[in-house]
Amino acid sequence: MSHDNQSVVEVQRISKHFSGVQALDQVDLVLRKGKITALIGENGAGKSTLVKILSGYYKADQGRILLDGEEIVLDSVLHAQQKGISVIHQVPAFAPDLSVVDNIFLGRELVVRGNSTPLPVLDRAAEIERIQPLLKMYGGEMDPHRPLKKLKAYQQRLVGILKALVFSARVLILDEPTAALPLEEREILLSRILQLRDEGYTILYVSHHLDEIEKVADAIAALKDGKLVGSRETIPGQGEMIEMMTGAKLDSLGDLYRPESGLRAHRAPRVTGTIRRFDIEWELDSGRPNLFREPLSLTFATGEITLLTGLVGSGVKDLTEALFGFQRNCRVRCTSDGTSYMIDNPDSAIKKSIGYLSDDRIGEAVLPDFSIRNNMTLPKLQKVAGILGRILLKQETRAAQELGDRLNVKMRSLKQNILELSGGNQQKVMLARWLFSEVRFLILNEPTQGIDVMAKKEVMDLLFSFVAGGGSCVIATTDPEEFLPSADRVVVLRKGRITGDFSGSDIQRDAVFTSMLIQQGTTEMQS
Amino acid sequence: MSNNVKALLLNAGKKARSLENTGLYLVFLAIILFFSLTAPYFFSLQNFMDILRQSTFVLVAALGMTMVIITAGIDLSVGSVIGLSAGITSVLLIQGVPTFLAVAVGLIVGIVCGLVNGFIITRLGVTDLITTLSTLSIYRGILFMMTHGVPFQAFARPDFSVLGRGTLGILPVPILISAAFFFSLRYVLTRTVFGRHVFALGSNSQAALLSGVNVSRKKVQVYMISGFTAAAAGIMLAARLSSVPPDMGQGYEMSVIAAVVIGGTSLFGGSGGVGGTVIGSLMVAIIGNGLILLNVNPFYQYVINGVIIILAVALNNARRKR
Repeated sequence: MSHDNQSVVEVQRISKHFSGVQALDQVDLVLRKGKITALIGENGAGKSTLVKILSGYYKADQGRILLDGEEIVLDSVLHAQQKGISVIHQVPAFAPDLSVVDNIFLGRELVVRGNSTPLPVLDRAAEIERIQPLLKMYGGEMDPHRPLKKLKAYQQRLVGILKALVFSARVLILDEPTAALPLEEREILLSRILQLRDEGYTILYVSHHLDEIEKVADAIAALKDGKLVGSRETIPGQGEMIEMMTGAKLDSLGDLYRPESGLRAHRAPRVTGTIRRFDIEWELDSGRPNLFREPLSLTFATGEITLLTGLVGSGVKDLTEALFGFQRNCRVRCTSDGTSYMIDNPDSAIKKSIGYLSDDRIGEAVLPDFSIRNNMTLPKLQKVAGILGRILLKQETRAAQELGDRLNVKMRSLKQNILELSGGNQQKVMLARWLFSEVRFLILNEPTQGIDVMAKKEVMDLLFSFVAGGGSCVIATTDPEEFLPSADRVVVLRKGRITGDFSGSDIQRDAVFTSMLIQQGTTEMQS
Repeated sequence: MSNNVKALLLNAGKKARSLENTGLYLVFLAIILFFSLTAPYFFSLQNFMDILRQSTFVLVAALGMTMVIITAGIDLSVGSVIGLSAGITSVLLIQGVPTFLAVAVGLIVGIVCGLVNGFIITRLGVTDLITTLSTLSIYRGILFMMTHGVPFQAFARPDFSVLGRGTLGILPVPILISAAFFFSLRYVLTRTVFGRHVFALGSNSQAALLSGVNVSRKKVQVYMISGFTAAAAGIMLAARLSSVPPDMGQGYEMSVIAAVVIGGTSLFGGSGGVGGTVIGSLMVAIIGNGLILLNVNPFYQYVINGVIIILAVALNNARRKR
């Protein structure tokens, strides 16, 4: 690299506050050419505010931004993009039915020059010509004419990056680029990002995934409560990163996922109580494509955390929805405590003491117009209701307050809107919802997705005490790595079939990953 | 004592702010001021009483509509339900059926109309807009067939007319009826499990479903309530007019929806309430009344109602973005 250590973007003493909250307090940050700078911090530490200021979305109250040594004032996102600074969001906004090339040029289409008609005519040939070299370099085998929805998740993220590159971005701000990507796609995307760095792009990498940061970043900056609490030009170990952002002393990330009582080995051999059994039959002639071809039977013991895992597309989420009565094309019979009943819809599942949390927190879990309290109590309002369904507000508030305190939800008031909370605290409210409902069987999809380390630890501790108290818990994930130390049992799904079932000391990382990736056993007869 | 007053004012201020309706009250006062200055006879007790009475017919139907809109739904059929329920009640009265029975049947007709709406929306998967647009036509058509184009008349009995014209002390009966509707629906919306579920459904129906709310059933019930309140409005109107023309209630859906959205209930669902709807209904009635006193061609009322809905929704959107 010829321009080693040349600073491209320099943020100097940036401050920003929102109605009483100091979101950023005198923050400095330097992004160097051809370097990946990682930005870490817990939720609410000010990462997204900083990103939004750099992208021209917010204006800082104080401080300045230098680009190539010259002060710039960013008026809008478009303005920042014109200056060469582009943010690639966690979930980029795309038109899923349009092709790769159409998405890249969306809103900035190239038109045929010298066209005499008043209607501009799209010059797709020129567009393709423009992106062809970029596609060749970073796109792998991506076909520019393919509709976006047919691409793999990581390819869609790449399209977001390519879009920025086409419009001459030099500084790329990647906001959780690997969130919700399956393991092998994550690796590909990371290698592309390294490739971009080597080409001389300046990259700010915002992520909760400390293992990724360890792999790709060249420098690191940590925010806490709006302040810059540490920055290094080399990458420390994960334990030190956690110390930087939390101020707490922790040996390694792994310890976060072990219950206070110790390792899994300490909790594993235990007389487990009741068994809950699910028998699922799939309607194969419904005319809709169904991943699942044969009936599935699953049993879960109380006191256990079961990890249900498989790659994206393996049917993990579909299966959890089926267990909760949320899948239409199946019949689910559940047997527990000696009785057997059908689970037809979420309502009937909840009545049988089953709780469910979607991985799509905003889309399928949070009630955006509701207060924290009202979000907590929704599934079992009857518990705090009198005659004719009259809600006893005092009881409701008391119960919600107790749970809020117990789960350490950081809030000003129970009446606060749920969306004002950080992701981790929202997630705690979602868990409190099921504790309030006193369910015994909890199905959680990607429960730690997009939340910071400390919140992760709190969530996991909560689940440990939930199962210790006689509950049982299913964690469904496409990325089992971080949960392996905590699981009592791992069930692996591949293309709608169970390809692995491990418990206790049989839970080995390699074995789990192998059964995720490769068809095992001899009875399988599938193309 | 001054401390008490201070506390009271502070409390009232807090409430106004918490309702986020301060702007609404200001517009409300501005409109009253405008008509007081421009329209002759507007600023008089007699006229205000008229406005209040006039507003109740829209208000009662708008209370049910508020619930529908909180669930992010819409009920365009209310105008036809008003006509149909009033028509059936008056036919029964003409046949000599006892008043309470005729009224009860009229109300049940409204509930059934709502049930049909809800059923089509939840079971057949037709969108609320298309469903109620179609039933608007269907329910109106049934009334046309019943009346053969001639108004029902001569059904007024003293014990029926009282619903639209009577007074209790100085208070007109329609105002008492709408007050009863207002307080009971406000209670249901703000204090009961049902009400909480209605808000949940409008806020995020998927999340509500996954929290065990029986979304389809709640939707049907909400349309039934809307049918019920529309029927009540229709019967009150029939009692007031002593006549049910075949086009009775036509275009009422505009005033009713205008009242709800002016009142701050979001068409996106999940927020709002019947308190705002009262102000909204009054505003619709005041504007109608003021324009008549100003001798404005009544056809303008249609244009104005449309413009009001657009403005109210646009303002609401702007507030959401903030």
